[in-house]
Amino acid sequence: MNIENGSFGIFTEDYGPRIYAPDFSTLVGDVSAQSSTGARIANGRFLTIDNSGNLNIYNTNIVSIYNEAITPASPLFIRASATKFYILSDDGFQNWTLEIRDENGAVDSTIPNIFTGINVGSFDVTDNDTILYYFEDSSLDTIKRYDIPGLAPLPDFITYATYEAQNILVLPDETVMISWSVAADEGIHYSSAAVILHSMSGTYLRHLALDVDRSSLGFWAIINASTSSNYYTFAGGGAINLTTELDGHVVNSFFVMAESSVVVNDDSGVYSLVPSKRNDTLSTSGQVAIPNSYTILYLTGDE
Amino acid sequence: MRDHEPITIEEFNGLWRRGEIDSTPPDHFSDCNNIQFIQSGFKSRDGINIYADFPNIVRMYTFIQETGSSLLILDDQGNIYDSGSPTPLIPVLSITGMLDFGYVSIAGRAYLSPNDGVKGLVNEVVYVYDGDGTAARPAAGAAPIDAEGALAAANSGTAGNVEAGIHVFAAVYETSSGFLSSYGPDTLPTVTADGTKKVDISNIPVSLSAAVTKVHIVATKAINPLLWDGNTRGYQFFFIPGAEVNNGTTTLTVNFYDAELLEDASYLEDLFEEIPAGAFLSTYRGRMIVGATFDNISVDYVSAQGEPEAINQVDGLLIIPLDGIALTFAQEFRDVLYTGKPARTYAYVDNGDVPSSWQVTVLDQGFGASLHGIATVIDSGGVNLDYLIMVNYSGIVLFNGTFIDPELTWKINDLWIGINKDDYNRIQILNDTILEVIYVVLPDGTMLIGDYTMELSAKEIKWSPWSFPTPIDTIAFIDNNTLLLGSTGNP
Repeated sequence: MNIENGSFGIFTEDYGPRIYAPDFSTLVGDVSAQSSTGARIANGRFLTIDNSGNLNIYNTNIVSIYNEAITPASPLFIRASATKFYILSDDGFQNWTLEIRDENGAVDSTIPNIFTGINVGSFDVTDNDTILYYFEDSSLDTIKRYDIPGLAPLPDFITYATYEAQNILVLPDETVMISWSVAADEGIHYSSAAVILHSMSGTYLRHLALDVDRSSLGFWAIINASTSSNYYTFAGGGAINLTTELDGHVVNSFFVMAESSVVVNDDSGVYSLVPSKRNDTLSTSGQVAIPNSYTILYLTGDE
Repeated sequence: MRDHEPITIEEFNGLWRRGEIDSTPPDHFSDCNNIQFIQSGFKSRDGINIYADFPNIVRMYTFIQETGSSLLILDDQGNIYDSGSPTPLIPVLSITGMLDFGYVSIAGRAYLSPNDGVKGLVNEVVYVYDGDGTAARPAAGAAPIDAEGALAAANSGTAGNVEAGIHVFAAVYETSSGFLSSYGPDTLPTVTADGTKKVDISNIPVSLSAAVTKVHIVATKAINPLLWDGNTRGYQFFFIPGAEVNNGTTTLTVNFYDAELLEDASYLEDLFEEIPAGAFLSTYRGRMIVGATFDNISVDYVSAQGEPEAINQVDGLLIIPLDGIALTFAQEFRDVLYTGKPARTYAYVDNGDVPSSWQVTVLDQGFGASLHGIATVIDSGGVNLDYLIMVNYSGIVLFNGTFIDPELTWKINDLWIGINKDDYNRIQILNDTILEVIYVVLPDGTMLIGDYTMELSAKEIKWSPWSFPTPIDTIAFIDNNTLLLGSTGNP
């Protein structure tokens, strides 16, 4: 795959992550087995957990650098700070565990029962790994906070009566983007003290992700409309329709990819010669015919 | 078809590419592609499947350890990966500009030599990789210095046997791979013993290198004070039996008779602290060989026996006659070291003395071997019991102490001589002695296979070109004779 800076990794109901060129003009390729969520850290690595329970960390060349079979709980959320991956999962009885892993997949720490008796709607963490923002399904108008190193709840961040939170994105400067819906569709950018810095309305912001350079305002939003999606750049301000590639695929989450350090050439890789195999299977092209098998005999009188 | 006499072809003997097309024998193909030979016939070659998801591969080797085998894989960005690492796609070594690398496995460790396909990279060194996924580190290591500890020695208060006279003491670092550094620090302490005491050693240098695990104390035998010239490095040093501490320990009391000082440490003094990278690595009688470094393309550096990282800068070398062409190989065969260039072969025999004293025999001034041109036998190494198979400008040639004429590629000579001589360093050859097939990677990304189930001879070997939808750049065996093919892919 040729990965350009600012390509999109899109998790849909059918695929995930699918890699799209920055303008969505090209579906560059699919990365792995179906997975509905994932997140990227600052160095470009991203983590997914596929539907078979395999945790994978990929480098910017979209090569898996860490794999582990885990028992995925449901529901499951994956977020990332600058250097850590965060996996929040429920054991099925509303007992939530937060697992923090480093860029190589090693478990830094686990916080069992960080929340109990609630259903978490979504969460995100600050780049300095100190504050976790989240909201509950039962009180969607309130954004709550949790002190990660202190292992203790913090005062609520904001309450927006009659609105329901859809998603949270904590930006590197510790400002917070919340997508709201129901009363109206709004995206509001708050300071860390919950002062409104920017807002936009009229759009239904379902999913949020940082832009490739992790700049404060340079984030992207995916807008779901049942079976098709649009994307929106807060900094740029204009909504752009997606290509038809995503038609029929409801987006579950997405991230914006850092530039690949290596352009991965098509069909590069290590292959094995398999006795009696009657075709060639390649890393990009898939299964193809063995090229051009032939023999020519030259017999006297052929001229 | 009147008067036509049918020709019965009982054996298909592969490609013939020599002379005019009408000289093709009826049981040979004037052209063919992607076939492999079976009993009295042939079929399409076997297909390939994805073995490992590494990108843009330019070189790979089989790395065999006690726990199994893995692949060492170089991509086109200068990253070497170990497929058996716990983190297989985190490089164990990354060197900008590394287009190729030399490799040899010794005692379960991999030695890696970054090069450009002709000679070692400038200012680069040989690395040692422990095989556990941790990053490779420069082989060998620096001697202790004063800044790491101003070694001191004094007569102990306890009774002992250190013989009367002046003794000079020094410290030697030992790394995790068993390398013993030159001795140091810069200033070496002396003790004038009276013959009745032990010696207390203090301020033993502490290396900051994680690779250094132990520190040995070495000493001279008693020097007559009347003959003492004050030059602390002018005397022979010996290892004191049992005088070693873990790196970080700074004191030790030693006790010895001169008669116990048997293990000479003098050879440590002129060792490379960093071994310059070469185009290839090899072994000979328990020694590691590094050939074609950036500054000395006609020199093989040869280590001490059993100490692959201990290469003496003064006498641990073999100087091949200079002709402006870089060395391309060194190979042990029947206790003789053969080394040379694509069209030169020289022979050396270990005479028990330092390598620079070994006498050279000019074996052949027409035949040699290219950089990856000595056939690796299954997944174990370069040499078979009875012969070597070597690639050179003349073709693929059997070698059993002399080159056997005609070359194995005699029947396809026109194909062989069409290969650009500048690209011979991209040719790689493997020998599957189980299936009796030779696999050759050609510079254009295709392959050549030679089936020698009938006989390994120019007459009986059956050749066929193979092509793939993606260019093949390197090959290796794993699990004895499973053929793996590495591709840089299609940009």
